Amino acid sequence: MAMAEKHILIIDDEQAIQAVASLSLKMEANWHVITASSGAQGIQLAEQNHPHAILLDVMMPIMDGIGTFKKLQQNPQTFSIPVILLTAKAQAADQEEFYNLGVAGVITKPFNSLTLASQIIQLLGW
Amino acid sequence: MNLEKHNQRMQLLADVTYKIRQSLDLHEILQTTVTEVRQLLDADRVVMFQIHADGAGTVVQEAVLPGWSESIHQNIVDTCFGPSFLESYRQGRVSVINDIEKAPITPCHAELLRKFEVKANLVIPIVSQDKLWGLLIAHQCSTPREWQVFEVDLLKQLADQAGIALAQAKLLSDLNQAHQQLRFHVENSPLAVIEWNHACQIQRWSAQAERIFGWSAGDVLGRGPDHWFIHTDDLHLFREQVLNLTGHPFPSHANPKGDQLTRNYTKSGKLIDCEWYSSALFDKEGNLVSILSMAQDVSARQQAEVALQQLNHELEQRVEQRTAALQESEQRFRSLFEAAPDCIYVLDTQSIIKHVNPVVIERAGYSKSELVDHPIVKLFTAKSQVLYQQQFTELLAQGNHRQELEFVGRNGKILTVDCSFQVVKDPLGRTSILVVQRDISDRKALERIKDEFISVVSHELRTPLTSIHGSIKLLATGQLGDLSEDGQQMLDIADQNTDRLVRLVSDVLDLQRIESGQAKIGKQLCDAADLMSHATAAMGSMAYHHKVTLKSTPLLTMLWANPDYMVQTLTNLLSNAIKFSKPGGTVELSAELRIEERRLQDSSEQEEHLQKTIVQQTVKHTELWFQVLDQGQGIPADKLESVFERFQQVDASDAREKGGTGLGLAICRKIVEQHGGKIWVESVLGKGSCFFVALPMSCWLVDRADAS
Repeated sequence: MAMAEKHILIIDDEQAIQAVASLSLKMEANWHVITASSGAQGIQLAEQNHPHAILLDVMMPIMDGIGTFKKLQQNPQTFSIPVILLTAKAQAADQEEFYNLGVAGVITKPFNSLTLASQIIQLLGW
Repeated sequence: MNLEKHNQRMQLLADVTYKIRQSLDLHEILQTTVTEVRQLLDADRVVMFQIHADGAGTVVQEAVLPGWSESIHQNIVDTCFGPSFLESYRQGRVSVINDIEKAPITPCHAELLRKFEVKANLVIPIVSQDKLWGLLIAHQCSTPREWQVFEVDLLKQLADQAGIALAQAKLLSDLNQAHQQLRFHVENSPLAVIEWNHACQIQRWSAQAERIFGWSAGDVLGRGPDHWFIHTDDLHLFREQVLNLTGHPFPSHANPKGDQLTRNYTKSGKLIDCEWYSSALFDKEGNLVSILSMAQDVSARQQAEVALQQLNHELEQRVEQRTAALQESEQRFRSLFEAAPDCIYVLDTQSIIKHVNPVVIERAGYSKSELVDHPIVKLFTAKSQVLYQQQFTELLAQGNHRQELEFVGRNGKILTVDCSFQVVKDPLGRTSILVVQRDISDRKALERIKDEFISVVSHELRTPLTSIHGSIKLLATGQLGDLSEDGQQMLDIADQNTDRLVRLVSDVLDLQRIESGQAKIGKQLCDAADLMSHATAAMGSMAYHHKVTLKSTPLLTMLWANPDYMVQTLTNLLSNAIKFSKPGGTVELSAELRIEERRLQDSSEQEEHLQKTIVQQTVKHTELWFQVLDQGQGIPADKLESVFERFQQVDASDAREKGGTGLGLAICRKIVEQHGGKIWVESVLGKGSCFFVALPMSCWLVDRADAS
């Protein structure tokens, strides 16, 4: 599978997840990753860098993933960026709810760090 | 000469009178009278004209010389006579007309007489029992005739004699008629009629007496009431009765006691019960003439009465027993009702509360008057009211139902209650509904806390687990630098156990979600073959690593299930089978449709007896059975049930050695139960096990499978 260089923004309050996901994407696909530790920071970085895709954690303090996603959708600079949610909720019903909001994909935790890029490619049809 | 003539006439009168009076037959009297009178007077015609109550009359007898017209049976209704005409005869008038052409009579009267060619006539009234019976009429048709005084006198005397004879004949006729009526009644009476003479001997024995007792009149006439006829012990009763009537004691009467019932013998020797009614007839001097007895066979009635008494007695006994049993049962139920720790209501079929036990008042805080005669739904929250109403019709149809509802106490506190509804019918067919309501608020609160705890903990576990799992996987690739041999071994251990921990957390979450009902098992039409293929594909790699041959025989049939959960179930079973197989072993997944005919069960106990009379109905019950067969170590008999419990592996070391979570089979069972099916295992130690999953199939799906 041809893996063209992509810019991915990871928004997660857990530093560890940021680190694992970043390394995972870099090792598997050599993608360029930028990270944010909160929803607000993530929106800012998205406006500035306009990444190819955003990996967004659902459970975050202050502004959770859903709130952040809604803001991104309302923002003319970011609304076209595909968003993939990272969640510990593995139930189909939960995932359906997320998809109904308009997210491009859902990846459940714990994800497979060896195939994370492949999952994103599959979800986004790259 | 005159004297001689007079004597002759007197003799003649005596002769004729004798002839008239000799008979008591009306017809004969009339016949004799007209014949003798005509001869005596040498008249052309003599008739007896009977006058009816309405004043009209009929010629009832006639003696006429040949050649003259007959008037017999002629009805004379002639208005020209008038009412005074008969009245004058009643007063004894005699009409003497020597020549009708010269007599002072009305023209119509004359016309009537001419019709019968009458030239002269003589009319004498016949009075019988002080009433005008009719007229004795003599006609001379040939010529007018001057009637002689002696002839008129003679006729008057004969008319008197005829009147007397007629009165006697009528009396006799009346008597005969009365006698015949009496005889008719006696012979047709349902009672035996027996007449005893003054010496107490039978002198009349009716046909019914013969029918009842068997003896003919010839057998019994002249016999007295004795042992041949009346049971020895009852003789005194009969005699006493007669004594009471007559005052004439029977020679051997004893033990006087008023009773009209005796036992009598029939000719064949059979003893029958008879009821007697007797009366005595005395002459003017007070002497006993006869005793009339009427008897009725009341054996059947007596037997029926005895049987009825016996029945009554038995019935009373049964009622007593039943009442005692009922009282005991009622007492038991009342004690249970009063002492039960749960709230108990009795409702009518309109959901109106009829009775409550003390617990309801104690716990809910309502007074009895706030509950009784009020609908039970008022005690539930609006949401539960809807749920209750929805199930109510079903409850009446099915006979019982169980439901969790929200109950509002008097103080407004909402309790979660588990309500068990049972439709009951009392022996009178009245239907009521028994509701046992248990407060499960505490349990529900605990369950909620547990669910929330597990959910939060699991979610919280997943985040650090993701980091650990992800980083170890990346490390294990070796792309981040080489490790020493020991270091690599430690990393492998960390890798495997992180995998296990991930599975464990997933399983705990799955189980909690299914148990708490959070996970909706959305079912859809799916193909059993597809499910089997998915499951074997997912397990192919594991089987390969364990050097186990995985065989699958997919069955093409549609079923109504949640495909993800069914694949998870089959995967879990296959995974277990592979894990516990020795290298070189075989694991087989197969499926089949099982059709069995089941007798239709009737839940209602009341209709149990009806079942015996109706044709047994059977329904085809179809199940889809999945089977996972392995050649592993097998499961001991005492563990066949418990392996489906959480963390209940056969050997405690299994989890560690085989990397299982101890939750796989518990999840499988939950999933299968949510599909209305069942799961079980059969096993032979050292030979292997076979896990079965049976899912119910609806009929139309089976039809489809057959068609396909």
